[in-house]
Amino acid sequence: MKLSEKSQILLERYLLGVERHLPLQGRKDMIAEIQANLMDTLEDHYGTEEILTEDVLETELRKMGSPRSVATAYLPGDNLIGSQHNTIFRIIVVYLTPVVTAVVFFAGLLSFALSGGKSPFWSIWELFGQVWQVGVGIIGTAAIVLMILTRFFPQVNQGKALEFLEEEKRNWKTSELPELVSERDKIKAWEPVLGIIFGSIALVFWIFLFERWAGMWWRVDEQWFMVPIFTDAFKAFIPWIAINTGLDLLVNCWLLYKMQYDVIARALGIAIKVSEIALVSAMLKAGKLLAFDVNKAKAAGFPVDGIEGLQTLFQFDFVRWFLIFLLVVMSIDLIHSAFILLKGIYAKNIKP
Amino acid sequence: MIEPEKIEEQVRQLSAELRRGLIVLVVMSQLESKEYGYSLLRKLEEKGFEITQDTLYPLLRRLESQGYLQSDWIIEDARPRRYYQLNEMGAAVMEALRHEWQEQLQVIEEIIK
Repeated sequence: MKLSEKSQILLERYLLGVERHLPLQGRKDMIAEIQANLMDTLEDHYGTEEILTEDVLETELRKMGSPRSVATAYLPGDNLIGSQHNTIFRIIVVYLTPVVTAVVFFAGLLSFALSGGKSPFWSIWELFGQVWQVGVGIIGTAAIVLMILTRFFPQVNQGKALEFLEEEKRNWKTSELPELVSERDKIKAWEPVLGIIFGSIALVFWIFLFERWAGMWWRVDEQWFMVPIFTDAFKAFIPWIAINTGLDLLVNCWLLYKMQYDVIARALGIAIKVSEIALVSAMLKAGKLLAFDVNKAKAAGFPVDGIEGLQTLFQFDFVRWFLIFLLVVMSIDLIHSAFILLKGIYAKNIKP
Repeated sequence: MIEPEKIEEQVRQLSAELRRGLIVLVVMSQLESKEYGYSLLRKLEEKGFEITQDTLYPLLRRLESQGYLQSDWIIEDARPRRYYQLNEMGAAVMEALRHEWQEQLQVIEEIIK
């Protein structure tokens, strides 16, 4: 039995689907065994010489059941929460909890920004603490309720366990199987999550906190002082910067949803890079972006040595050189991203 | 009057339950020599004991993790296969289970005759 190119891809996608539902511990070994058993079954049914088409393979895979149902058989039994409650628990963990925690996170971020945040770091940590508390609270409460139902009221939802498994086994589509992901397109879940967290904080900073926080800070007699250093010319670019940050946030949300780079993510990424290059170019032409007000600094007690040092730094026009450096790096990155996108499109649609 | 279909369905369910209780004994009894998952499935099928893949394969892993079986990956015809066999502990347990089964069988036959 041999597999055609398309049936090989279907098989790999199916196994990837099974793998995603297996326990992390021993996953590779389990999937190797499932594959070996499946190949034995196929070889027994179709001999050693027949080339298996995609349709025939799909029929055989359907007999095995959905990837999730195959994986379920490998999960340890004797659960604290009975499988009759799987559907409801899954809805709570997969849908309800992320939505509620996201709402709490953004509401917290907004109220933090609007209130000005007197002790910003504590407020941010408190916010993360609250989000964690809400997430754990929802899942924990649901788990406790369902454990009690399993232990003391086993009749509740009885029959749903088998129904659930049968439903799982029958109702699946090949189009829902995960796409095979090349090494280059793979992402780790924490990457977009970090992107979303820091992107959200950056967005709030650009929109609400820039005026109050951006500048040269120093501490005298246990008190913090700040002299603004950004000129109006720089401030004119803030909406543009905020739009880029927002788009970047969008890409990270998309990546988290897809759990891989795809054409949309890469194309959007390129659009952002083009916009950033245009932004930096415009900044280069905009004149002075930074200015240090010596009189204000002196009046607020800024150390004299520091003032002289900063004046020298500002006279050197380091911003201009930094922007030129940035432009070169971003252009190389843009070419690299465009190359990867085109290569991906070629591999998927044109390559025979 | 009870419909024959209903009786048939009840019998089907109860005999499946009965078989489920014997699966471990049956599977272990066939693993005195090395077998891989699919070969064992076919062997049981040929002997008239029906068992599904999604029951047998995870059961083999479970018996191995419980310390009754040992397994080895062996490459045959360019394909890797996992072979299972009773280990010392498994063989001893199987022997005891066989005795237990024969005793219980006599008792049950006496009860239900």
